Amino acid sequence: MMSNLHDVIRLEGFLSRQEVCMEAGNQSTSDIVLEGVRKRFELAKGQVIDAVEHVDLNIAGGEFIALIGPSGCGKSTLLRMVAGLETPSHGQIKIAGQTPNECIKQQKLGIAMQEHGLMPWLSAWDNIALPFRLAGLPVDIDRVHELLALVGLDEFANALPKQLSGGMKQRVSIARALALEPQVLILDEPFGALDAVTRRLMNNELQRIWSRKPTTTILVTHSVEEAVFLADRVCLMSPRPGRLALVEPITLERPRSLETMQTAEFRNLLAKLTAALDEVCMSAPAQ
Amino acid sequence: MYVGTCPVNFISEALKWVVGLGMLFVLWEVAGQQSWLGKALPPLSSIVSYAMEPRSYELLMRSASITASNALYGFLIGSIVGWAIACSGQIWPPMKKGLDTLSTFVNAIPLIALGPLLIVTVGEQSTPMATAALAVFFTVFVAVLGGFERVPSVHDDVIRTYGVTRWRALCFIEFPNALPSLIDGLKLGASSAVLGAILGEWFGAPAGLGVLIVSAMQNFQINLLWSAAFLGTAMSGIGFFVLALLQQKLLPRLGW
Repeated sequence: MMSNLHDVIRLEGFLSRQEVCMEAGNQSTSDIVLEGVRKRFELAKGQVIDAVEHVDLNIAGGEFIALIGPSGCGKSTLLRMVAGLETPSHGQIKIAGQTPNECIKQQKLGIAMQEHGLMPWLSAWDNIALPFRLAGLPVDIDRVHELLALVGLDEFANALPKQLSGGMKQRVSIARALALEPQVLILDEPFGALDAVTRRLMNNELQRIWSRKPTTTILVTHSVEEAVFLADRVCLMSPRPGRLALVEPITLERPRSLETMQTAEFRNLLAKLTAALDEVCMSAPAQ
Repeated sequence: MYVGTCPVNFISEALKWVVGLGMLFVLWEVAGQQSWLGKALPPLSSIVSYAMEPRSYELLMRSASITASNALYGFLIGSIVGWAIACSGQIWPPMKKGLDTLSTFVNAIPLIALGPLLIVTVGEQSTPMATAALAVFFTVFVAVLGGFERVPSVHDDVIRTYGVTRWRALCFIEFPNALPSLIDGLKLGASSAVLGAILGEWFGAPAGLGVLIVSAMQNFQINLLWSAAFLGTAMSGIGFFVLALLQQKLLPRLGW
């Protein structure tokens, strides 16, 4: 049964990569391959926790993947492994044939998290320019202006983070993640700390930004609605040890807008995935 | 704590100071007049009138300016060294442990014990500066290290996902994060520097408030002793105040 499921996941990954490749025409360089990835954390006194257990997943170039699952199911750990912030205990992760650490050295990753992580002493402009400075590259002034405009903050170029609202800070954070034109965009609950209304608007915003230049993206979120709205495929992870319980392709047409959320197709997918999420939560042993 | 620039606020703040100090001075004057603590605590008015006499005034000012310059140079040297050592541990992590141990060790040696050694090595003239520097160095070192400890983990993630070199991480992320902590350390260091300089002058410097204090002690010149002590305190206070002002005005502008 388990191996069947993995075959299905592989197959789906393959199919959808084919589709995306046909649409995008190139981009085969951004493939992310996760093979038998596991993560075991050693606690004190010889205790261990299996955070992620045997995840196989192929992500096509230019594809948007959303990882959902109950709290503590290892989705953030999986994301951190792709970002090179954690090392898998078993298995391997390849991004365009390279390990995450090799990608890091070439500045191929962009990351935005729930905590915006902006430098409080830098203006919005300088925060977006920071990746250039960190990489020792000359700051591409046009690119920084373009990104500020893209996230709709051209008027706030000189504002310090403390002068910006929560949503604005997250927009700067996403613009910063995009600064070096990363091959892979890694988003860990970027809007998790925002209120429901702002969050919905930000999702719409992110969808628009992403559609302008589809970048291979992995998003971790608690919100099924967010996942369905943004992703090409939604991966549902079961609780500890985390494994992929379901991979659902989202066939909603792009570009999507707030109206998309009103369609029957959207509602059906939402209902299906919510039910599946409830099921994995319920079947999990009490913690 | 940021105090607003509203004048009413400022005046009420100043008023509290004036009232508090005024009460202390009155109590002192009465205690001196009534000789509650014998000859060791003369009335405040007699100390002030002594200090204002041209001869003693000139002596006090000359000594104070020497101590001030010793304290200032010592403060600068000590802060720069403390800061540089903390930063180098950040750039070469393997060195960090050794530098921590060395600094703790240096700090554990009482300045009193180092005094004679300094006289022999750097000379009487420079000893006050050296003791001031030693007194400041550890405070600043610990403050900067503490600042590095407080770099938020999400900033560490930025450093790692962008594959940032140690040097750039220090310049662009870690050091700016440690700045508020550094200023805190400098604030504490300001009074340590004055204390260190006066202590260094005890070991036989040619001039300075420390020299004045030792000679006043030996000759039982109570008024001179108190005048010198006041000047030393005022100096520490000014240093602290200037840095506190810097903290209040500069940090919010820098985004903190």
